[in-house]
Amino acid sequence: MKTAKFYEFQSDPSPDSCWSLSAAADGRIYAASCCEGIPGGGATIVRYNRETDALDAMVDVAEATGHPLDSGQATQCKIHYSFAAAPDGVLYAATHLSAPGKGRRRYSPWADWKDEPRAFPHSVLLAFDTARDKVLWSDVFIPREGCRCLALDPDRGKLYAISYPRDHFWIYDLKTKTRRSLGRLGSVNSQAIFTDRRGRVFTSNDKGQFVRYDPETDRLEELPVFVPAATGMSGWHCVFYDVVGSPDGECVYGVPWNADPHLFRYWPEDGPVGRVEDLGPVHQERDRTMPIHFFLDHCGGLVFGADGMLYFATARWPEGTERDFSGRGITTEGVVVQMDPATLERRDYALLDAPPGYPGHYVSRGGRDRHGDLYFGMVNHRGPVGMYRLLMDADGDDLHQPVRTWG
Amino acid sequence: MSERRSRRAHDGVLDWRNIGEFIREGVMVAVPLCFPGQTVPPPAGETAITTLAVDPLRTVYCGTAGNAAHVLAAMIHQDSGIVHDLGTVPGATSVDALAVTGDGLAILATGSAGTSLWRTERFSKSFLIQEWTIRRPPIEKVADVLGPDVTPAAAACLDGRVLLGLTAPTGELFRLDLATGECTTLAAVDERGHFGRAVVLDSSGRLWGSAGNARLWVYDPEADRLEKTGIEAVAAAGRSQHSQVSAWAPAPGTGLLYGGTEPDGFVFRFDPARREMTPLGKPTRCEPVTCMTAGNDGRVFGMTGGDDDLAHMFVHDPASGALCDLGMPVAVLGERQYGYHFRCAATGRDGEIYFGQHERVNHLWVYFPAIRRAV
Repeated sequence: MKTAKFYEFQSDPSPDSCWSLSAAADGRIYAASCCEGIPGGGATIVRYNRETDALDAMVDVAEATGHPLDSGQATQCKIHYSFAAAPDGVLYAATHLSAPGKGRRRYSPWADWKDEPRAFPHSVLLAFDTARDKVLWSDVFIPREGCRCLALDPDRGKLYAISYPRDHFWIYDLKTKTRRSLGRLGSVNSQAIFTDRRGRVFTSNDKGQFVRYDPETDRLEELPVFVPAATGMSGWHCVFYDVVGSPDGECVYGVPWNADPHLFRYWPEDGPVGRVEDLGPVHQERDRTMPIHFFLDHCGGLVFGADGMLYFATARWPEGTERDFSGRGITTEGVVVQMDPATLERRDYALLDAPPGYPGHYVSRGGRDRHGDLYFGMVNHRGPVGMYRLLMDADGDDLHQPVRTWG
Repeated sequence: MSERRSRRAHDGVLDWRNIGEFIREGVMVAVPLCFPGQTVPPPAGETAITTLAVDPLRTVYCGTAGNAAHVLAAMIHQDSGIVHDLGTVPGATSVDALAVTGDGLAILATGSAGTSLWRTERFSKSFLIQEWTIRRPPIEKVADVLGPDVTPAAAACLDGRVLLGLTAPTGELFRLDLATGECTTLAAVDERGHFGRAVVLDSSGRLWGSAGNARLWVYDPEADRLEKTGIEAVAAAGRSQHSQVSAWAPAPGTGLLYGGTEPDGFVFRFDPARREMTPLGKPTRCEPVTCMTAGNDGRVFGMTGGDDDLAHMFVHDPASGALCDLGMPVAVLGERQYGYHFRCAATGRDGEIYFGQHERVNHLWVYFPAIRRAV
């Protein structure tokens, strides 16, 4: 079985998470080095450099947003599932909250709402030109809230986002630089938002119900379509975690953010509301009377290889030990699984070469570069954090196309 | 590097425990607007709850606003457990007032064509764990009440027969006969259109509100007389010109009225008989007081927070004088939700407090207050 090599982020203060990773139109891989739990922590956009086999720091987010890390306000500490690559080479990135301001112990977006010296002021949208390696412009994105996930419609020049903590559906017009909310979806917060070939936008509410925005009608509606849940479980918390489009654009594959997540496939153009298929659990069996730590019961990094196979990263652990996991304490394995979309057959394809002694199984997002190699962003609050690179030995050029336009 | 992380892990930085920002006493439940497991709620965007009315059968009626206006009937006692959609009011985008009248429910609702009075049957059901027959009786128009250039801003029901209210933007008092639909314009509370969008009936049947620089007015329906008093509702220094009473709560059995203000979110007690205004304070960091209701034990509960806020609930205990921020609404029994905006409140027969959520997706929230240990 192959091994995906780990590349640690090197920033100050030390990051604790990578919440965004994507190929841009230039075929290179960009990732967000984030500090979600570190007071005064910031974020850096890094890029994988094939020549040096290392990561280059491209954007200091604090500097680019004009929000210094020592202001005392909750910082622009991460880019959370909010890379959106445009065909013209711009990589849009929207910031998110979590970290307290420098010198403070905790940050609650609820308790500190509108507390100007302490609160997160607003999410910031950055437009990074990958050809010239510069931030073209930045703008206030979502007032008072972070951006949980982002999607781009390059044809209409619109960005779509889900905000946190209020769980509102936002639209940003790139031409007029204006924003508006279409209102609240729920409480949990979908972790993914995607578009179909018609420019319709899909996300989810607390029950795993598909919510669709149609730009032709300017209508946001809850569809009678639901993310599949494990047997005996309600659909609560089945918000999208990660979604990837099929190479032909006809369907998407996704996983939810709930216990014992099931892989699903959705055909948005199949009938008036689309059709969803349950492709089964991504994880092993477990004691179902025990709420498993979310850091363990996790699957992410959905990405198609140049070979047309679907790849995703999942966690494995010794049977029965899930009840002992509290972030550390048991041996976990990060495995990249390959699935054939035609037959739905799966096999373990690669191991994530985690930093010794630390769980490295938590993958947030995946991407494919122009050479067809796969990359996975990793989160690890208790140890080194960074990204993995999996060599795929693919042939051809521009194997990163079509570029994923959502985070 | 690992040492730094170890230090951080032990100094509470990554400790996600609750810091007490949510409801700190009592329990809230977010009741879905449906018959759980049997029906689905009305479409999102149609369920922002604007008004509540409670009948002696314990049914709580909710009026909504949005792309369409619904009338909902909620029952949570005994073997009920339902929020039944009684239907949409034809042509309406907002239910402005509800009143339980004898054997029916009066509905004042507004659409693009104006405001009309409607009527439907009252709702009561049981045996909803076993089996059921549930109807949706027709919502029938009684009369057209107001033209499209004005809307009801606030209303209160007198004796189940008459609705007294205010129109916006004109600030005119109106009297609506709930049986016939006859609507009479009475007087204007403020010619400049500066008035509070909240009214209340005191124990004598007089209607109170605010206008101008937060000055109270009172209308006596028996005498058909409007008095503009010089009594100023509590306001921050220099800000009475911006302030109005935005919420009222009569305290049954005491003759007192409690009120809350906008934009600054102060709370006061008012004795209509003695004409005494007593400021109680500002209960939360949020701005307007959006709704209030007096509980069965005399405590007054309310919500604060405008469109740009995250709501906070508060309580005033007349016995101790305390005015406290209870925290942000959250529910974890059944539906797990945060509640961010509320526009109306009512007290149920057993002292449970109902709050109508006013967002794109909504629930009827029920608060069960904490009961202090006697000894």
